[in-house]
Amino acid sequence: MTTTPSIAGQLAELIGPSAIVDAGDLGGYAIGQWLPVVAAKPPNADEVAEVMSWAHRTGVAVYPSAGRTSTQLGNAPARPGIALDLAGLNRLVDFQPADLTVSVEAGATIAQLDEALAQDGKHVPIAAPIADRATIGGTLATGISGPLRSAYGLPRDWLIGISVVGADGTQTKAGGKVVKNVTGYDLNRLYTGSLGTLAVITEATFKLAPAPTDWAVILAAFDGVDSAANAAQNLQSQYYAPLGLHILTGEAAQRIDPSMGESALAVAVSGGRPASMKRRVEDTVGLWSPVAGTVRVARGDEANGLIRTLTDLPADAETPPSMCVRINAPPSALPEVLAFANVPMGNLPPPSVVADVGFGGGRLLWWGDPESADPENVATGLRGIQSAAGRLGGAAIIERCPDDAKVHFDVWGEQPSGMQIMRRLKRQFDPQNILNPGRFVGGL
Amino acid sequence: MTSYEFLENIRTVVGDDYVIAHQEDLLVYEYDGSVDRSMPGAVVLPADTDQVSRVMRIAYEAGLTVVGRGSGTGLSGGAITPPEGLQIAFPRMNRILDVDTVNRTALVEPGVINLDLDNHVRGFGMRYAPDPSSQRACSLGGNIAENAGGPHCLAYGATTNHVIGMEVVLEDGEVVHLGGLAREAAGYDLRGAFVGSEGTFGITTKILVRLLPLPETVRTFLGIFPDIDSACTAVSAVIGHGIVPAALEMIDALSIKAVQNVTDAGYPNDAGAVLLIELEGLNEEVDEVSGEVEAALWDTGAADVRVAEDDAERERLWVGRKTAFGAFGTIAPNYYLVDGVVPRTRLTQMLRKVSEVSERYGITIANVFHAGDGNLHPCMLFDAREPGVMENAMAAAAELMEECALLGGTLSGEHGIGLEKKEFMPLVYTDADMAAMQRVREAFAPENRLNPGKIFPDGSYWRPAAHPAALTVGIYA
Repeated sequence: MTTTPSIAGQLAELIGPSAIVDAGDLGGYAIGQWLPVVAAKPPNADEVAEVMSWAHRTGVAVYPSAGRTSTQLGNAPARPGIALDLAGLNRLVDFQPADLTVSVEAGATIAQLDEALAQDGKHVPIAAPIADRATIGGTLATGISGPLRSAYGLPRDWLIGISVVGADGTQTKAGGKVVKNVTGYDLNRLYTGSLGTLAVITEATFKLAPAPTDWAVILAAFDGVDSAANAAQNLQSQYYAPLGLHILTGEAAQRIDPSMGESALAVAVSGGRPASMKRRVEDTVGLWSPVAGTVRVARGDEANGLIRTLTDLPADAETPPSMCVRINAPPSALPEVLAFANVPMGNLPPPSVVADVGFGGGRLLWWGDPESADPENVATGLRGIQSAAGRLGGAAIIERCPDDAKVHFDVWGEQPSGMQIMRRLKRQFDPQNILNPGRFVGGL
Repeated sequence: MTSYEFLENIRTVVGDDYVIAHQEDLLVYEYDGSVDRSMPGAVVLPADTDQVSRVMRIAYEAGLTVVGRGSGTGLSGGAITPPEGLQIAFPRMNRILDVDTVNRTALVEPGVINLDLDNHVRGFGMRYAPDPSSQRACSLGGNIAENAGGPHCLAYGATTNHVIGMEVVLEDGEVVHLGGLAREAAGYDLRGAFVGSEGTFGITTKILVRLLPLPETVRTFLGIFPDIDSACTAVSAVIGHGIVPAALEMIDALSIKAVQNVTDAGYPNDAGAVLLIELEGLNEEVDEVSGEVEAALWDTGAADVRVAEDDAERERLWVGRKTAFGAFGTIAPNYYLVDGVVPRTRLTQMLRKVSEVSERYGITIANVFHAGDGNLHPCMLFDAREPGVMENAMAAAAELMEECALLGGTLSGEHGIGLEKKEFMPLVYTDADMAAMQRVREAFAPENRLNPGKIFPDGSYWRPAAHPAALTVGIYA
């Protein structure tokens, strides 16, 4: 590999010195203890293509990022390389309210898109922690989803078109600007959740939905997770089931509503038109009141604030959890997911649990100080959670944990079926392994 | 391996009765719902995953092409098998293996008929949302291959939104699981890439589908319009109002006539176009939105707006919509259907083009389609026995696809590219775009043994129908 100054020099020559981040600011691009040798911040897709063509020629690894709210996700980088900051690509390209579609560059933030669409009463119901920094490209690359995923689905379900720059610098697109499309293979879904290991996302087109005009969050405290689970599952089977329904324990519950003060908090998020909202709220309260300790309804700004807090639990800007595990599991595994709340892991206390009742699975969160724990013990505990999740018919993805624990295991868990196809995909799309090397499943 | 040995080997796997290799028996496997036709070398009817895997291994080692076939209702030639190819069909793998009311899923074999699944799970208070017009006949395996749609895709999405996991057999016979029991899985979304890959990535042997709870209320409207222009304006008005109905279908005058020839669906004979609109949800929600939908229809020039009074009437309105393509038989013996999509605001413009093309080519074109998501189905009606008429229809179709692309739309909303539209792919994708897609196929099927020659232009559009089938058939018999 060439030396650091010459990499910066080469890139400056290609995309201009103003698109090279000051060496003093490289710390912001850290991935755990890893630091890039250079960070490039190109202003448009053509310049992204220039950078990738250069990387293709030189074999230098490229680690794409933008909002840098999810850099904890993934294994440690396999080798030195440059950071490719997409935050410069932040334009709203084409908003067609009457067609219910929007095209937006990858570096635009979720908040920016939300705000633009809200002016016309529309939304793309995707969500990520720290919405004013999390970007469209990052949300797609990580495949991350918010607390309303059970009703609205995942980011991949709203993406109808995508533009990317390939590992060799070639710009391609897939899908289009229409809401229904089976023309060619569905690369939208392939790129979504691929953690930037197949291509660099530069633009996305989404279908839109009319945004609910009214929101409510119904909170109920229960004396234990079992009664909370029963009440939640009962609500989930009603016609007026909410858009999102979660059971929270410990610190996570306290962060949503410290006044509820009991051991399990059920949180239902409802949205809709005013006439139906009256029914949704009244019937939910009616269903839960006889079985819960306390039931409380938040409306308006308070409801919106609670939805944000719920979205930010895995990674809020001020006091993020020290560790976060996403459990993928079918809804029937709710009791087993909740049972993680009682299991200490190595030297660490038992986690807070946020169980997603409708979607299945959820998250385990720790706000303790993992740095004091032995990394091998932490890794052993996390591996144990991965095995347990596997037995539930799912997986546990370690979204956040100490760097020195990551060397002992794969944060993505056991290699999934079809791993040989995934390896061939990686070889096809990135034969030199220059895109985010080492960070994805099985070291992809 | 000689073809005799090959047939003997697969007979050993599935039993003598389940290998079809005689010309007269192969006749029913030489076509699907498209215009193309080709008799496969042989057809095998496996009973389970293990048999599929072993048969595919044998075919792989023999260097043969394999094509999966569901019910043969596909409209783009996806199941058309080259004469030297082996076709795998699934009439024996048609069991609903499990219905899970807690997880709201069903585990099915690929030969299960779409409507049979829906009817079955309704008994549990749930439904399977994707509802292609051919749902009485089409199979779940075929639905996966084509990423099938249907009227209710407008609100609930196409097949890909309803598949959680799959067991598939790769070209070399290896069995892999894509997706899982949870709606999210680690690694690349192979499940998402597989759905809609038109049989080129693998053969599906088990499918875990997502079911939806039945809504509290369903209300179906028939908006009657003097002409297709005003009906298009009504579609824009409804969507523009921030309403996405469960379904929003358009049926033009000619289609109304065809439907009313075969069944009384309750469509008025003198209407220029009707809109079939369905709302679902909570009682209060449907009540509230109903008022807005009715107002939008009246405001845009509806001659009348009717509401289905009961389930029977709603069923009758839908039977009309779903039998339209069959009913075209009362107007002409053959039809050819274009599946283009345009942004919803371009519907009026696109339908004017359809009408202009119809006049210029002298071809009757009926329109019955998914207006709510901009997915047109201009349907050319003709008698294929008339010399030159087929070529004329294809030329007209080409113009319509070009217009869709020009208006910012695409070639296919739900029928797939297959053989039929593959040469038109450059209208919407560059060579580099298609090369990226081909890389995915390389990863799933490096030897390209599954349904080759489909989807991508190769300048060698084979039109088996142009040749007398008897000359090339039965090479294994």
